[in-house]
Amino acid sequence: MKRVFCLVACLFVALPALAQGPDDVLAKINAIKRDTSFLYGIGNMATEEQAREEALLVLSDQLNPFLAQNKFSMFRSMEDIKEGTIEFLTYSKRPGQYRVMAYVNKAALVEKEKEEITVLEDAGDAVGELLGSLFASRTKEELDRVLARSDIPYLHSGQLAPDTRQLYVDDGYLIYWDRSSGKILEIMTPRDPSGKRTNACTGEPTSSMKYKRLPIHWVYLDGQTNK
Amino acid sequence: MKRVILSLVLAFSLQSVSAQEVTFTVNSGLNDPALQSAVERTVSGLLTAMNTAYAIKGMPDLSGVPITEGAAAGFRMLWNNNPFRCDESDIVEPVIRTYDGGYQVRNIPLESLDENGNPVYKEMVIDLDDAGRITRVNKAIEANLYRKIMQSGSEVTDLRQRQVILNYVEDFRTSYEKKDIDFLEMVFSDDALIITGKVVQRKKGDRAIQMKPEITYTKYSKQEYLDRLRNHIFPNTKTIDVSFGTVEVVKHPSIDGYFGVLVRQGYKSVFKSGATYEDDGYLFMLWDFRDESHPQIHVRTWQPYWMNEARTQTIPEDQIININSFRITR
Repeated sequence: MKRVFCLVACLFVALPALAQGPDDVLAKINAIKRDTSFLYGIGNMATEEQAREEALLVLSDQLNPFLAQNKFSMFRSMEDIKEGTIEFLTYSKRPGQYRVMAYVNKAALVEKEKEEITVLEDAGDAVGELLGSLFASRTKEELDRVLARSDIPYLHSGQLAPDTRQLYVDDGYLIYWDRSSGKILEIMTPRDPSGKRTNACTGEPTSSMKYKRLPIHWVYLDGQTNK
Repeated sequence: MKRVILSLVLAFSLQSVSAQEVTFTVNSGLNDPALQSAVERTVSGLLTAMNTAYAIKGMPDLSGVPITEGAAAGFRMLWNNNPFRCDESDIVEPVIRTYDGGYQVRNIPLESLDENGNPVYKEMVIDLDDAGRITRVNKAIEANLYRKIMQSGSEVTDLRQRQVILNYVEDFRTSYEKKDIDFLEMVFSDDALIITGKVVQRKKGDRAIQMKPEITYTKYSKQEYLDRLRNHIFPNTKTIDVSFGTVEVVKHPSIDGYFGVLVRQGYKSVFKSGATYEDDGYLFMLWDFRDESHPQIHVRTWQPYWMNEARTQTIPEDQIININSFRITR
């Protein structure tokens, strides 16, 4: 009795799992199709090479209008895109058919939106020491006090434009500063490996986007100054 | 004990049925969320009904699927020819707006078995109205052929006409698999010219010197052709499989509304006796789309692709019938 029960139970668990098969590629293809941050083309043909060719042709139908319409695009057409930017997935489970997806992340095609960077003053070597001590303190009150001084040097500064979607500056501390009152609003740490910043004082995750549309200046201090 | 086993068997059966379930998601083409979820529900419902029927070797239960009577009848005819299933449980495709204000979903993967039990891959195209109800189900022209034809026309009107033509070409192809004599009756004009070519290998003289193979043609009227299908071919055939290798659509150079459609067609059928028939050739159709709601075929010709049994020699290109082969008088 127990044996029969075990056998049926095993079948019940094992058979559906076996039936599923290696569908990871298909799941990835469908995930990309659902994700609007990608452009893709799919080719279904008898050979993998034909399918790849067809997938690229279909992708070019999506890509070329995107590049033409996007003012930040780094390329004029698909031919300009360097090898490796376009990725491929191949699904070969359909009878007599290869299904190849050629896809590209739109972000890889668009130049990083750069803020108008105003160099207010060259920091120069002489200020390195000062900035080092500045960050050594790491308390908001102290930084407030130091940065409020008119002789404090900073490397780059700017304001977030209303249509800014992301502030692209290299790794380093970011200070949001209301120059009119001389107050520091927030100090953000350099990006972590996943690209996120945290508030240097509280350790909470944060984003530059909350200062969008506000007359707030950011000050960027590159990694060197923190040594 | 019996109860335990019965419960497990029942649970197992239920799990098998749920394994047939297909989820269809629209990834672009619709801005109306209500319509989008209606289309998703409808297509998922049809594909799941299809898979369930395939598993139990029955007829799909379409009672819960919003579908017109005509589309349901057409779907059943297609099913009766050779049942099929969708082997993928998650389908993501865009929705296309059609020329008549409806919607279309293409590239639905299908799998059926040929006469030897080998899996055959095809794709399905589903048309829906603005309430998310299915109005047509057909086997689709291969996606690469469809793309090529749609891109070969640059004017907007032309593009729309190409979509109309392709829909009718899909209807025409599927009508043989459906054995839909009513559709063929409707689409051929009363005075349609139907020509079928056959390769003949003549021999000359006593020593029987082989001459070059040539094609001889037989001409049929609409009624003669349809009677052959109605009385001989369709009733004696178990399954028909029509595939298109290439499709070319050419607008008539001087007469508006006339299009030549040249197709490389593969045709396979299994007779009820078990015998099989197979051919490979060029199918040319002269379509008259002046009345788009009631297009007509004035000419249908078929020519063999291979000129010999060894399949080493193909029909010379200059002998392939095309739109310039006919003089149209109005």
